[in-house]
Amino acid sequence: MSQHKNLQTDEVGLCLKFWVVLVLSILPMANHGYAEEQITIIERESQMGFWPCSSCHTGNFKGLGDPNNQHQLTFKHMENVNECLFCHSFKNPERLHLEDGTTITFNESYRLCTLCHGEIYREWKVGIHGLQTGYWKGPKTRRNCTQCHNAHAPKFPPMEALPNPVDYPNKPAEGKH
Amino acid sequence: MSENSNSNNKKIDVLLKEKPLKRRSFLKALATAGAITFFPGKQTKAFAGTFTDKKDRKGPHLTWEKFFQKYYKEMTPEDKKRVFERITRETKEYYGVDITLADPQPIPGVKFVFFLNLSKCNGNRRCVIACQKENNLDRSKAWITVLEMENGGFDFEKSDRHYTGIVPKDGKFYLPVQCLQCDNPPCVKVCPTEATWKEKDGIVVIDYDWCIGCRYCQAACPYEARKFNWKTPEIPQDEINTNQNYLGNRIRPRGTIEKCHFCSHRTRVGRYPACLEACPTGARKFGNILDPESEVSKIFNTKTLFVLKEELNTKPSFFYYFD
Ligand code: HEC
Ligand code: HEC
Ligand code: HEC
Ligand code: HEC
Repeated sequence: MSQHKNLQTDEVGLCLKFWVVLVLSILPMANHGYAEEQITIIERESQMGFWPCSSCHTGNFKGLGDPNNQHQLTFKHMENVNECLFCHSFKNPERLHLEDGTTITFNESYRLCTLCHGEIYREWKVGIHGLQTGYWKGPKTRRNCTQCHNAHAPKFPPMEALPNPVDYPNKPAEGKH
Repeated sequence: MSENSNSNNKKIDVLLKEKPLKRRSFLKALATAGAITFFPGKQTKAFAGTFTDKKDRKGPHLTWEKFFQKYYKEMTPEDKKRVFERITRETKEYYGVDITLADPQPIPGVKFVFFLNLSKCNGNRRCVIACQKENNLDRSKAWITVLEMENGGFDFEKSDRHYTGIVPKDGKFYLPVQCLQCDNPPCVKVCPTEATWKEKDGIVVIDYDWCIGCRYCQAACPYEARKFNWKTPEIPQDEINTNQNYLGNRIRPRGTIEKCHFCSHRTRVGRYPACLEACPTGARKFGNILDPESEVSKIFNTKTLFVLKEELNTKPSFFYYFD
């Protein structure tokens, strides 16, 4: 747009305005659904308690003692897998790795979950599983799997119910007069 | 949800039969009250906020300006501007906040539906509180009622709406109920002043300045979705949501009916409803069912959906499913 500022003729300005208006008014129509690029997945790294891993793990994972003691993890995922390096990259503590050796960041951990939860992943990808906020008709923010599921004990945790504000439905609050 | 559907059915029948009479009697009541009687038809505006309990002098007064206000659907843009200015002024006077009042219109080609995944909902009531704040409800009221149900059936008699503590509880599931925005709404049919109607995008709206507080609609609704304002809503000043819709979440006058309107002030500009965004489990899904790419269309095609009290033929736009 900035180049066009130099062109002073009215016609160009008008033409430009016309096209901008036209495109802007057509875009939302053409874009009835939503394009994948309109979706932002909330990043995880900044939310992780032990981030950055490099403050303790320099190089690779070797030689730090009993992992469960340090991180106080309760591992309740996949009965027979408690091998940390099944998911965590042994080369780089700040990455995860997939079955084919690809390393991914913690922000992309959904790619790891996909390996075993393909069905749920497909639902998540179209917004059926999990939570999307923002615009039903526009840009959305999506929660990563690990926002809701602890990767090491993924069962959705029980929570405290907020109190029901209505004690006596549809009656005036007697005590308040 | 405690009454059974049959008695509700009867109630609706009775109300429907009485409808023409009632309208006349409202006119009479107006006449005997010494009010203006020469307004024909819809112009017979009765007054919201006059359901008086004489002690309660709080709340914006009934003014002549309000009394002579036109029916919403007949307002010109200038009429609307005047009315919105009056409400903005009154809200400033009474609640001390500056609001932005508008009336976003239905988006062409959009029909809203709400889907709720009962396998995910854990009854934590985040939605109830988010709704209360978003929609400027009195802090002792809620538009969403979450019923704690016994597993294995829909026995409303055995449901509990006052449960507390850690959820989900064993052997229970949770059923949030709010206005289902029926396509065949019994509430709309019984309104003697036509203060409530269904809009093109499926939302059933209320003109609170036209509502006379007779509560017929409340009795007609089989889902207990409609709530009555016995008093002027009390809201902490700093919690008032200033983004307000005339037919939606503006602060309701005392003596009027209110209910969920699918967050029309948000959804009609493309945003998700507040309850959906507040749900930590992701059980709530909302969107345009006419758009095949929307989440709701995809759920519609893959899950088995059901509605509450289907036998009443109310045709809700709010569906539930398990997965
Ligand atoms: C406060 C220091 C500290 C931080 C920060 C830290 N760790 Fe550790 N971690 C340890 C110690 C100590 C062990 C024990 C290592 C061992 O037994 O080899 C360990 C072990 C582990 C193991 C097990 C390794 C193995 O060989 O079995 C994994 C996986 C791990 N950490 C991942 C992480 C990740 C991922 C991060 C960043 C999000 C992180 N850690 C951050 C201290 C830390
Ligand atoms: C199923 C694959 C998987 C296995 C197996 C696994 N992790 Fe993780 N781990 C993850 C994922 C994914 C994350 C990122 C979680 C997030 O987004 O908060 C993570 C995060 C971590 C973190 C950082 C947590 C935080 O909040 O800072 C530590 C520490 C960690 N893992 C240690 C371990 C240890 C020790 C083991 C072995 C006992 C282990 N992990 C086994 C997938 C796994
Ligand atoms: C290597 C395969 C594998 C990977 C990778 C994996 N899971 Fe799982 N997951 C399983 C299996 C097997 C089960 C069922 C057994 C169990 O619950 O222990 C399961 C169960 C679950 C459950 C249900 C738990 C419950 O108790 O209800 C959730 C939620 C879950 N996984 C989430 C995740 C997330 C999130 C990730 C990515 C961080 C992930 N899984 C990665 C294999 C995997
Ligand atoms: C908004 C939160 C949220 C997000 C994001 C989310 N889930 Fe879930 N997930 C849930 C809830 C709630 C349940 C139901 C828990 C229960 O029944 O205890 C669930 C259930 C599951 C289950 C158990 C399925 C079953 O049928 O019992 C798996 C597996 C799972 N999720 C995997 C994933 C994966 C993989 C991702 C990312 C692609 C993901 N989830 C993202 C909230 C979420």
